[in-house]
Amino acid sequence: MQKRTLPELESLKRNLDIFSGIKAPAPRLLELGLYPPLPIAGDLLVWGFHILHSARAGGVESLSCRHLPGLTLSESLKIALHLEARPGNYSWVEKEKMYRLLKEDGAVSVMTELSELIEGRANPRLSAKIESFSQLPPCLKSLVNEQTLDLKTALRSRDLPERVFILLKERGRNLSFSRRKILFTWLSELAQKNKMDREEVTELIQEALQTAEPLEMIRLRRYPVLSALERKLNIIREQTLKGSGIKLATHPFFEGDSFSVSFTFESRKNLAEKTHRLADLEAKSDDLFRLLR
Amino acid sequence: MISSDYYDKLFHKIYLEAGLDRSPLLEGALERLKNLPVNIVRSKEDIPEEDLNRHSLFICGPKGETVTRCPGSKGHLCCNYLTVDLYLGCPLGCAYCIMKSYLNFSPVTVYLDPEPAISRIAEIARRNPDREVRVGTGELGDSLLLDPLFELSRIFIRSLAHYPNLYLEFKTKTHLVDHLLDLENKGNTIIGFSLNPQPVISAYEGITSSLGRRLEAARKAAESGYHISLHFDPIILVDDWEELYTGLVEKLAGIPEERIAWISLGTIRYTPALKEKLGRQDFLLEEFVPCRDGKYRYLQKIRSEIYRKIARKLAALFSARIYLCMESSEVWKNVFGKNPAEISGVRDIFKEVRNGGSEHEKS
Repeated sequence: MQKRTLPELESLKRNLDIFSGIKAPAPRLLELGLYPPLPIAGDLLVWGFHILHSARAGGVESLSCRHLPGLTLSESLKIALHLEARPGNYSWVEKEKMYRLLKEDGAVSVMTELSELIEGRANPRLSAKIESFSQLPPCLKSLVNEQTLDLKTALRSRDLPERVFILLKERGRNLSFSRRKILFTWLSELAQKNKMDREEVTELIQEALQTAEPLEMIRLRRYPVLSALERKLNIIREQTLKGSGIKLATHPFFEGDSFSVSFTFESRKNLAEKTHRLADLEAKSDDLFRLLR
Repeated sequence: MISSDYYDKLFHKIYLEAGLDRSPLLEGALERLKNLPVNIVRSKEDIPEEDLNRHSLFICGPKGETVTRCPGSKGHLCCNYLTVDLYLGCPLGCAYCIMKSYLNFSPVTVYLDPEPAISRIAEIARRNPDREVRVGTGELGDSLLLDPLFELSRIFIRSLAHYPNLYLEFKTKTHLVDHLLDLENKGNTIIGFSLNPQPVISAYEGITSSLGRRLEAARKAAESGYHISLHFDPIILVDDWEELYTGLVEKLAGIPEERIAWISLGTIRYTPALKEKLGRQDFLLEEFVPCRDGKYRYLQKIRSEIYRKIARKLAALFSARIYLCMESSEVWKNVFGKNPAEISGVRDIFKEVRNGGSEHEKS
């Protein structure tokens, strides 16, 4: 182990300055020597850029280092990942940087071996996933990197116009993760099914985001027949049972052959009123059963 | 006869299980596939990862249960079909194939020794003299695609043709029936054809045979004395679906109706796991809803309408039994006004056989 001055350390290659997940230690800790030595492979600083940053900010003049001769770039990355020690917590941008480094070095095949250190489990598909992430439009990439959207949904939605992603990023913050995911999925399916052009999709999402329930509006368009069945059932409810306290229900997604009514009553008179309203429902029962047949 | 070039394009390599009896059956198949490299492996697990796909052919002996019951679907009426795995997996590449969700990383497998399955089917047939025992080999693979190579179906037919209550069905999306036509005693053997309008075949059914070739094969099979079955499954809601499917029914005119054992209808359905594997297929853009068995189907109202229209058209042409595959009691009532147990003829199809084997694991 040896001490190296900050200018010496800063003159080293910084290819592996790709991590942004660890907070810089307080300069006081550095003065006390309470930090791991910075590994150096030849003219490459392997890890510890956050320590270097903190030292610079705190006026610390030199840092302990350990020289590791003969390391390849991928071996250096492996050591950096061990020191970083946060499997499963790397951002997509960090993973992309690792992948690019290995690719430039002709060592992409090492990615599967490193996946355990990166994701906490061996993942032979990690390279392919990173490649897919790299090909996303910039705004969609940033949504995935911020964990506002999952990669799978982003890939399915990648043909939507960039403006849609920007609008959803800016104005779709109130949506939960799962509702946002559904919104992206339905929107891209809708665009694909109806062969909508970029302007039509953008107009649709603009319109939806102006409503209190953007997801509901997109659902109406994505599931027109189901929505029409629901609307018809609501009309029958309104026409026959409104204000009666009688609940009319059917099977989820209209998969079934029956309806149910439920109510409570407090007196003979009250029961008679409800029975009377049920007769109104009976008059509409053909319309009701048409919803299931 | 189909040329070996056809198979050379489908497959890249053959893996042969070590210790397999070098029967004339195997030698004949290897001779027909002589352009493909053959590798001997102790088991499927020894096949290199890069060859675990539908372009590798794995030939092995029988494994586990030889006859299993079709798993059916929770909350849906099952026709109590029995299945035998002869050819597992399929290289035809249909866009909607259920096998994508669980056989994606498997070679196409041929279980070469048919004797255990034949003995088991015979036993079931003997124990159910009062029931229609329906057994098929097309559950997890095409029954006839590889059959000109291995001729396993011939052995089944020869061995089981004398059971009067046994209906052995070979279901296919190909036209490969020629190798079966000369058998003398065909018993109640049924050659089943999966049918779709040609535009649907072209769009979604990979390198399967054209509708014209399938229908030509159906006529040949019927003329040579086989019963045939027609499976409108999966029915896919495309633009002009009504015109296309009624047009398809009209093309069946001329098939002798007394040779049609049954006709089945089933709209496309998928599990959430399969949807993940299917990618961006345009048929998935229709309105699908989750059903009681967890599978996604078109809305009940839409399915009922599709079935009613096709069934009505079929009934005008043929008196053959028509049934719905993996459908709910509600849809049966919407289409036929009653459940299968209340429909003469169809009732027999839905009667469960005794000692019919355990359920298939894929459920």
